[in-house]
Amino acid sequence: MIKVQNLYYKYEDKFILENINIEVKEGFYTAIIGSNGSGKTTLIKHFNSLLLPTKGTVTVDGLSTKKDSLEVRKMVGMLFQNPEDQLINSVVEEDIAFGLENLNISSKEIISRVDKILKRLYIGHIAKSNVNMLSAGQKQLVALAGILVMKPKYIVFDEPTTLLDPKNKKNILRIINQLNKKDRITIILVTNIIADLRHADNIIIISDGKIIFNGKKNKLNKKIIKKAGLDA
Amino acid sequence: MLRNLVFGQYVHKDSLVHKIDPRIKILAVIFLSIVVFLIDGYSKLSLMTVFIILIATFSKISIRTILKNLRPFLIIFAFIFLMYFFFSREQLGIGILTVWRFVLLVVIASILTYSTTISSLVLGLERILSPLRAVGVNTRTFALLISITIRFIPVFFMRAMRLMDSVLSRLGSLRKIKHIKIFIMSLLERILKSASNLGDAVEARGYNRKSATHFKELNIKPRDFFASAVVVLISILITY
Repeated sequence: MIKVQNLYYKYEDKFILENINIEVKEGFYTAIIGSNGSGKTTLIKHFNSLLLPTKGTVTVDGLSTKKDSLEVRKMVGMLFQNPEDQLINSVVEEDIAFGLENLNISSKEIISRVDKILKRLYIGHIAKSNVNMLSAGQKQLVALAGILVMKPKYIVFDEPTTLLDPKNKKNILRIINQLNKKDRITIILVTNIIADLRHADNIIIISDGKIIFNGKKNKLNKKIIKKAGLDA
Repeated sequence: MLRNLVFGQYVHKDSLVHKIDPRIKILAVIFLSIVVFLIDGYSKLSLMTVFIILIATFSKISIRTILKNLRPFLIIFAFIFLMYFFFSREQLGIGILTVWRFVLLVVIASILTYSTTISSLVLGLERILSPLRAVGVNTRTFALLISITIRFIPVFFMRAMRLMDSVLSRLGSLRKIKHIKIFIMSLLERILKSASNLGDAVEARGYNRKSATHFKELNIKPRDFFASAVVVLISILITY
């Protein structure tokens, strides 16, 4: 479980997050939704120790993100919006292997895991390709492969389909849903599109750095959506 | 343009140069770079040029591709030449040789990056620099910094081109200092944002400064010794 208690985050004398209290239960598909600048990305960056609280605590399965950041990052994978800025190596299979190298996994095991994930995501044919030659959809799949290969318990997706065309967007959302329903990976999807919520078990709405809704989809109403600025 | 920009980009080919151990290739690049600056005279530089073109041929990189990738550096070459032309005309011959040497350096470097994956380069560099760990140098971080720089050279060229189009469409030209300043500041902002995002991605994937395992381990083979011997022997022959 990811537990956020009394979280405040300050940046340049301004509180970006205030009094955040949420729990993300294991195996659940949680969507975090809010308009641009509401604090969604700032919040999720706390889940894998990319940001540390100014006040309050964030724990992942009991481990503190402040004290056990490396252990937390093994458990919580993160896929960012722009695939270009998260591909580190120039060859697909080597980029996928990067995370496993950091985990000190043996070379033989790395090769095996990379091979399996390439097949699973149907990107084996681009294994030796230069990442600069890939389409945006392929880049996002490679970035996802690089996270899945680390076998995280939780995966945070920060608006993963913003830069994709409708076909690739549908593919990524389908994969995310599969990861939750079949592999029982805990999913946290950050989005500002209401339509992306359809598979989510739980919805958290954030507005101006505060949580204004945290519950099931059927309890969501137009008033709350309007308050969050998502009613276009 | 990105597809033709070979400099800094690995392209998978089944070539002899691709199969050489990255440590040997890195050391060969350093050695050849030193030799290029040690040799003097048009005839010796011509021989060295032929040798480097041969190496490029063995790596299956075409002459056309090499010439295309010298294009981004034309301004630098022209600048060096013009400095000699305006301020030291009696040494114009030396100026030509200097530009020629820089051309060869760019070609040697691009053969390395064309035929060696970033992770092989990182691993090769790390192994070469490993004795420095004894004096507290974090060779892993250093090697990763170099590999990321190489990975993002073509990306930033592309972003600069796109930004240029955007700026030109709004400002009309880049002749005024004010407009150039806007272009540079916008480009820097984008690069710094990318750097920040990349830093997050590297950290999120568990990067730490301690040692790590590697996707593919390095093993020196007889062909690596042979390649080293050829490079050293031919360079010595050309020099003397």
